[in-house]
Amino acid sequence: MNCMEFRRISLEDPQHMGDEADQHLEQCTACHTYYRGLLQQERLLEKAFAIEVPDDLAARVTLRQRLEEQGDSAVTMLPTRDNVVAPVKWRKWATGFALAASIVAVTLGINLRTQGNPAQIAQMLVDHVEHEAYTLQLQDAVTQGRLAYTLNNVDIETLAHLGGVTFAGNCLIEGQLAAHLVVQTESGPVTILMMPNSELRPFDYSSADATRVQTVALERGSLALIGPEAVDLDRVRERVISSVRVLRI
Amino acid sequence: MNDKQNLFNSLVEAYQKPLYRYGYWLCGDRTIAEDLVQETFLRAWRALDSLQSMGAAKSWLITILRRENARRFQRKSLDYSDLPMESLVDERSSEGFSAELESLRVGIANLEEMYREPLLMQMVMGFTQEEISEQMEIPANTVATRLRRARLQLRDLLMDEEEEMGGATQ
Ligand SMILES: [Zn+2]
Repeated sequence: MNCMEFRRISLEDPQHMGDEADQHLEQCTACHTYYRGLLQQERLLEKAFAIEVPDDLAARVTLRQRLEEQGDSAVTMLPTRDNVVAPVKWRKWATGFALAASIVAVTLGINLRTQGNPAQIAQMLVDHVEHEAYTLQLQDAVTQGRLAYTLNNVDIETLAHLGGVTFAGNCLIEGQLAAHLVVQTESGPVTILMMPNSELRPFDYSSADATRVQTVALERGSLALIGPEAVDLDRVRERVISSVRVLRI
Repeated sequence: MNDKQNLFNSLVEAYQKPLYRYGYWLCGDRTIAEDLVQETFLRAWRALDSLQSMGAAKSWLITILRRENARRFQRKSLDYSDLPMESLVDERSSEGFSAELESLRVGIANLEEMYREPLLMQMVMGFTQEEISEQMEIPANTVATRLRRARLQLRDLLMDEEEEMGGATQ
C-alpha cells in the first residue's frame, strides 16, 4: 500500500482501516503524522455530533406509546385551564406537542436528584405544585375512568373509589412517569404525587407559609402529599393508600 | 410487563439518543428532532412484530426515521436550506464554549446532505459502509467517496480556522 491509498482508506473510516493500512501506518512516518491529525479531527467530530439529548426523552416516548396503546378509543375528561371540563379524545390530544408541552410544564421546578434535606425537598415539591397552581382551583370531580387511567399509566391499580379528585394527570419526575392528583377537602386542596419509580426519603415537614409536605414509601417508590396545615393530611394519606395498589412489575 | 413492552423499552433505551442526534443533524431543529423520534418509535411500536431480531433494529429504526423525515418534506414542501440551524448557538452554554467545536458544527450543518448523511450513519449510528450502502441505496464505492469528501471538507474548515487563529496572534 502506498501513501495515497492509505490516506484514501483512512478518510473513509479511520477506526477500521484493515491490516494493510495498519502495516503502512507502522512503517510510514508521514502517514503516521497525518493519521494522528485525522484522529484528532474524529474526536472533535464525535463531540460535535453529540448534541445534548433531553433527559426525559425516553420517558416521553414511552408515555406516548402507552397513551396510544391504552387510549385508542377511550374518551376521557381532561380538565382545562379555564376550569371547564371538556371531553377530549385521548389519542388526538396525545398527537403533536400538546402532550410534550404539558409534561414539560408539570415537570419544571422539581429535581429529586438533589440530595437535599427535607426542607429543600419539600420546597421543590411545593414549587412543583405552585407551577401548576391552576390544578388546585378545579372544582369538578374527574371521572373514575380518568383517575384509573392516570394511575394505570404508572402501574397503580385502583382498589376502591377515591372520591373528591378534581385533577388527575401524568407528569415526569426525574424522567420517571408519576401520577399527579388533587383532592378537595373542607380545609383546602391537597396535591398527591404518586411516584412508583422514584425513591424519596420519608419525612413530614411544615413550611413557614403553613404548607405541610409529607413523603412516605409505597410498596414501590414514594408518595408525596402537599397541602395546607389545616388539612388532616394523615387521613387523606390513609384514604389514598387504602384505595390503590402499586403493582410490582 | 409483557415481552413486547420489554422489547420496546429496551429499543427506546438503546436508540433514543442516536436517533435524536441523527434527527437533529438531518433537520437542524430540536423540536423537529424530537417529533421525528416520537413518530419513529410510535411506528416501531405498531410494527414491532415485524422486527426480525435485535440486530436488525438499528437499520429498521433509521429506515423509519428517514421515511418520516421525507414525509415531513412532502407535507410542507420544505427544502433543507429553508430551515435555519437555529439551535446550533444554544449548544455553547452546555459544555463551555469551544470555537473549534462551534465552527465544526456549523461546518457539519453546511455540508451537502449527500455528504452529511453517510457520515452521520457512520459516526452517530455506527453503520458499516455496506450498511450505509444498503440504507441509502447507493453503491459501496460511492459511500466511500462521500465519506472521504465529507471528512476532507471538514478538515479544510478546521485548517482555515487554525490559520485565522494563527494570523490573529501575529
Ligand atoms: Zn505513507
